[in-house]
Amino acid sequence: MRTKNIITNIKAIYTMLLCCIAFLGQAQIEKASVLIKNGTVITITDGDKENTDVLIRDGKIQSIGKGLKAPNGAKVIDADGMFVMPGIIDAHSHIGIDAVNEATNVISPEVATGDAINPFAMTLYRALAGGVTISHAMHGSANAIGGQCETIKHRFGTMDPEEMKMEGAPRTIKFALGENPMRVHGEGRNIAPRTRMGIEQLFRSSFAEAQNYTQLWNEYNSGKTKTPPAYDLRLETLADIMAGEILIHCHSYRADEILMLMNVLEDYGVKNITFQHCNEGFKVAPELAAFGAHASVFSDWWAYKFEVYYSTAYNAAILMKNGVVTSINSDDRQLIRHLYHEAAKSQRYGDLSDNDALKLITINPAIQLGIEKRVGSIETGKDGDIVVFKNHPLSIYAVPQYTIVDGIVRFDINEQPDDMRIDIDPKEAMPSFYEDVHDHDKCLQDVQDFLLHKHSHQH
Amino acid sequence: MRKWSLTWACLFLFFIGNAQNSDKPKNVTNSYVIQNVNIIQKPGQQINMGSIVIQNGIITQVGKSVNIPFDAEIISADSMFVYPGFIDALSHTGIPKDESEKPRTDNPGKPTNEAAGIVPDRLSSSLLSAKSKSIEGLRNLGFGISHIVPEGNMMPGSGAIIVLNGKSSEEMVLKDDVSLFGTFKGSGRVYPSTIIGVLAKWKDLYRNAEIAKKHTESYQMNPQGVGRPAYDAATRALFPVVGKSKIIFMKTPSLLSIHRAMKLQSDLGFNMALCEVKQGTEVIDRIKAKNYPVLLSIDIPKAEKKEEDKEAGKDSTETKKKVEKKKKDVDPEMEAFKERKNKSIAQYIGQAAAFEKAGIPFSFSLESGKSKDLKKNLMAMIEAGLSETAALAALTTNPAKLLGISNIAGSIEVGKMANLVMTDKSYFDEKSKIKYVFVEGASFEFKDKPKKKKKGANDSSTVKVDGKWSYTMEIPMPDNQGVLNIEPTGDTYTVTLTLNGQEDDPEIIEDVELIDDQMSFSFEVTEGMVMTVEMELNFTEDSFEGTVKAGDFGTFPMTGNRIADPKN
Repeated sequence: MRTKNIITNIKAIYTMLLCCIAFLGQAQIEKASVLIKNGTVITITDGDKENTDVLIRDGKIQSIGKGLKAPNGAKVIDADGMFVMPGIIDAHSHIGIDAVNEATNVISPEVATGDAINPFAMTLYRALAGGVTISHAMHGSANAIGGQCETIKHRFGTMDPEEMKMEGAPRTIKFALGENPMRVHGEGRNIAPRTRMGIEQLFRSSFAEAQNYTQLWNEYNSGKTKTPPAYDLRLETLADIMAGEILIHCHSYRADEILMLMNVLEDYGVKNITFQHCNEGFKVAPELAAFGAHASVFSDWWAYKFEVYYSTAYNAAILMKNGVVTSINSDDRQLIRHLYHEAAKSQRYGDLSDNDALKLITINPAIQLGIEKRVGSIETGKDGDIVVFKNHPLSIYAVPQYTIVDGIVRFDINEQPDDMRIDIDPKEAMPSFYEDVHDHDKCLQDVQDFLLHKHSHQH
Repeated sequence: MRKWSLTWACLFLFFIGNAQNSDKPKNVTNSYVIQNVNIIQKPGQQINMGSIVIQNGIITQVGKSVNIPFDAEIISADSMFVYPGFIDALSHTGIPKDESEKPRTDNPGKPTNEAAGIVPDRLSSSLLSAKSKSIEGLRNLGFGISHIVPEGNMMPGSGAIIVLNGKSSEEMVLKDDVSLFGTFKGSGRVYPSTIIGVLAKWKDLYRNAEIAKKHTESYQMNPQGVGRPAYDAATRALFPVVGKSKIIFMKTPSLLSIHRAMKLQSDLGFNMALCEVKQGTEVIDRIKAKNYPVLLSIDIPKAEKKEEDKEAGKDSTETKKKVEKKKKDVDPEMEAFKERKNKSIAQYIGQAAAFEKAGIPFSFSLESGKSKDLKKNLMAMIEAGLSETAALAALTTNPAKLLGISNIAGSIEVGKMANLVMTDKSYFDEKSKIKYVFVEGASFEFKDKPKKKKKGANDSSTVKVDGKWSYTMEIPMPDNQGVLNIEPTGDTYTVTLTLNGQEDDPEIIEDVELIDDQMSFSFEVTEGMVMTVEMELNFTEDSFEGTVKAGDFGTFPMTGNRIADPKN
């Protein structure tokens, strides 16, 4: 018995050591404890609880209940009369990164926005002010297969880009259908894809090429041939997509194209897809549900180009009622600041319950990003990502008061100074504080100038 | 304005190399003795009033007393200070800007390596031009050795260590192919165009080179049954990098670029030096833990002077009133912004001191910024807490060690290359001037320039320059003639420059310098780009001749004749 205990102890110590070693190479994520007292707690997965406390300890939700005690040194927030909900998650944005499109190649899965994180971006802080604790920093829609995206936690205040990454979040990648890749590559350069047919063919040829690449490596690794294939990060990444290691998020509008991509994925055995924008998703909601595809949509934004005219504000509700996991996203640095209003609009049109409307910006985007076990609801053991609202979040009078990430209050409407910039250009003529105010959609950012002469909203 | 700019812009089409003869040292002997000199042998080690003997480019004696060779030229240093010749740890010295037009790429997704800026196989020695003015420029600042790398996008080429004197590039190269220069700069219009493309390409090329190297080596051992490895110059050039025998000097001025470089390095495992670092203070601990060699930039922002300081000295009641009025008008928000900006500036200037405090040895790179500001910027860093010893080490022993040339450079010791810099006072005295620079035993002497003369009774000019002059610039474009009107204004002159046919669009220059009979001034033209035009004209009674320097396009002859006398 005693020996067994010792062995168990040794095992535990060994595991701890291994964890420490694994951790050494990584960025240290700052975490804290905070007690939020007496709020109306909107758990999302377990109903609303009035006059309830939420205790976050060392970055994780430790308990939800009444009369909880704060650990030593923990911050205490009096949420009496306020609403406590999970941090809002935006499944489609482009904030906090220095590059959005590597528009020079129509197939560019090897590039990753995670390589270009800019923790100093003021848009991150402004998103916190809108209660958003996690966003999906996506590649743009210039390419049929764009770059890998990064799920980032809005740990605004940290200087290390690696610390912005949500550790353990699955890899994701951007695909794009329709007019954007056709315009950038077809019209812009007179190369494929010039048409929607061309886009389908690119997916098929890319997957076929990746299959071939995987086979070559298998032959080499098994000793069948002594000649190693040339390493190709592009094909490596495509092979990872086909192996199901990367979740696809595809820019899409038209129903026919959505069906097309599902057919292609079916042919190559690829699952795990979220259709982004998905304005005509309502036309193919049963098919999406049958495939297990998700949809991340706007509440009521459309008509900014030809393929986006056939749209409806009932989209989110129709998709949801057909069993499609649906979220509302921003794709915009301004909209990200009031995603709770966007959810409320979908409720207004589609007659959703309060809880279903709030799912659109919490647990559902979490599912789409593969992080629903960590965030998206207030449950013990989940990450301490919380937003405290004055007035109900679906009310037009809702205003976030505190936004908490990993137990750290990253936004406090009353206490923080006006100038929250971290990195200040010593040569700036004008304070950069005033920059970034002008809102331009970033979905086609970094696409070469000559393609942007006809500037318009180009999601 | 517009016409002027177009005129200069035309030069693109007629690009002419900027070939100028650099001053050659007048060598009558290969032996020198420097006597009565305070010798700073290396940082922190000094011989007061000693002597140095140089023979055939080598230091042969150093000490309180030396044997004077029969053929030696004696330089009586008269208690000057002599330091080891400075070593520039990284710059583009001697490599002319690449202005060749890049071939158009039909498919921007599949450019040639050259168009993509991936040329690790390009040797600095092949680009080096002994005639480049930058060589002389750096030498005049006290440098004897430079580690040069080409300019470019993500992999501009390999570095070479050069001696800053020689008639040809062959004479100058000490060691070729010593390093790989790396940046995160995209190619703009072709793949990789952005930071995400560049970082993906770094990983792709590196991992491919690792596999290709193994493949190539096993093929060399035994080719039987193995497919022949592809021959690719760029991939081959990366073999010593993946084999860890060649270090990557990664250009990382900003904090974000340092983070990105550290991440890439830990993912791939190459040997890396961080260079042109401007914002490293925040990550000192991590740099230290990883033991990365560090090259700090000499390019630092200027500290902003306070309004009161500017007015100091002028004690009139009017000035006081002005200051008081300004105080009333201050916008607290703007003041808060200014304060934050000043703090940021102070952090940039204090970077070197912070590295010294953390015990990290560093060198200086002169990759960006104006090398001319070296002394001024060093003094600012010293004021911010950097010790003179550490500053000198960053210019001598540290880069020598980093570049693997400690056995021949970095200190004044017998057997080392005779690279020296001699100043009238301690180099770190604000008013010190460089009197001699020795590069591999070749002596370059600097005499005091005549002081800037002001117009008036003490005017040393033998000719009157004011009046109207016609001028012709020998530049390969049609609009090359016009009128130059020189008018006296207060202590100096105002020059009004017009092009023929464009009289209604003059360029008016107020900051004019006149030394003896040479007038020099400059102005900027803007047309999509900013270019500085500098004119240097030598006047006689009725004519002048001189040069016009048009940005980086080149320097061209300019002549003129008097067409009207001054009004008085």
